[in-house]
Amino acid sequence: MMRAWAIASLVAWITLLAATLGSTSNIAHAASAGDGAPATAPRLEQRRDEPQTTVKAIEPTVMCPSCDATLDQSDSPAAERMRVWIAAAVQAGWTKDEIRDGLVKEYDGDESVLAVPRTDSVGLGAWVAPLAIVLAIALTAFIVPRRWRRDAQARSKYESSSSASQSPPSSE
Amino acid sequence: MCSMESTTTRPETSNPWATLAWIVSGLLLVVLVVAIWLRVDDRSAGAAIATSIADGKRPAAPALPTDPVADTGLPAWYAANGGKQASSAKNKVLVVNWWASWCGPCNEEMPALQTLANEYDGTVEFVGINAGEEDLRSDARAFAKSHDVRYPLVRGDRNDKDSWGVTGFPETFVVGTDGRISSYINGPLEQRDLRDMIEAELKRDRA
Repeated sequence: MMRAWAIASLVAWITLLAATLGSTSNIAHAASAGDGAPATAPRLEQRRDEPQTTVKAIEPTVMCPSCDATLDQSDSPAAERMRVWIAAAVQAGWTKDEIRDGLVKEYDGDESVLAVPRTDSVGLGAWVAPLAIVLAIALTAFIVPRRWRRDAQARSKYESSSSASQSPPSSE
Repeated sequence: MCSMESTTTRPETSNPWATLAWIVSGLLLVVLVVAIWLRVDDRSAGAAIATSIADGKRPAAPALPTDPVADTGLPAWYAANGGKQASSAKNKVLVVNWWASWCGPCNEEMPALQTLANEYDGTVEFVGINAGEEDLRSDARAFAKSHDVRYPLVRGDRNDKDSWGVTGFPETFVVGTDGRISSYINGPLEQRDLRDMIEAELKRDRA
């Protein structure tokens, strides 16, 4: 039992460590609203005549960088500016992927603006890593104790054969 | 029954796997604690600036970012030292203002900053650092244009923000010719206060 706990804690520590090192956490700070902020919408390249997506569809998939929450959860001035930019891109006929890529560029290539990671090779790790962690825990929980039990049984068999007094009662 | 007992009474240490697991989790715990501590320490490096100014000390000014907001690029004095040291602004006193386009007080204080930049043209250099990872680049450009800012505006990233210890916008620093921060304003500035800080630094230089 103790050994199972040892392995479980090992897995937990690895997970925690990975989370600590990997997190790009950014302490949110107070952002004061004001009327002096630029109210103009950005001028974006017209790509298609018809809108391909909606602001509502994009909002949960991107982060408001200064508020540490997805855009649909934020109403800070910075979030407001993001919405204005996304609305302009939707009007200009950009697709969801184009808008998300465009936002990364607007934030100097900082991918932490994407709440839902990309599905291409770069962002794939973000999808695979959590699955791998769950799999690792599941494997540890089921396979390792079984193996120990088998080892323990083998040992006890060996011991029982070496001392006749400790042999289990016969099934007869 | 007996076979069960014989396994449970076995000393734990006899299983090399368990020993290894304990040792490795112990080591990982140490690494985790150190990692958390380093991350916290990274942030507090910037916070130390505020504390040491409050203590009457002059902390060294962190490096300036070198990515210009506008396409027009950066002035020669800025480009020459690659923004590495705030002190090498041609041996002039330097005013560093952190801003974001969506921040109301930043917009409100821009005229005061530009007025002082004009007033001290030739004696004091001004730099505006934009919170690059929290502000749309197109908004930052629009800001520079609408306020007609004539001193260099650059995009800072999260590391710059941490090293300057900036936690909100605006924040303004006055850097002496020795490359050390003499004073700072946490929040919106008053033209009068900033002028006093600049004057105090120029006076110190002449002494």
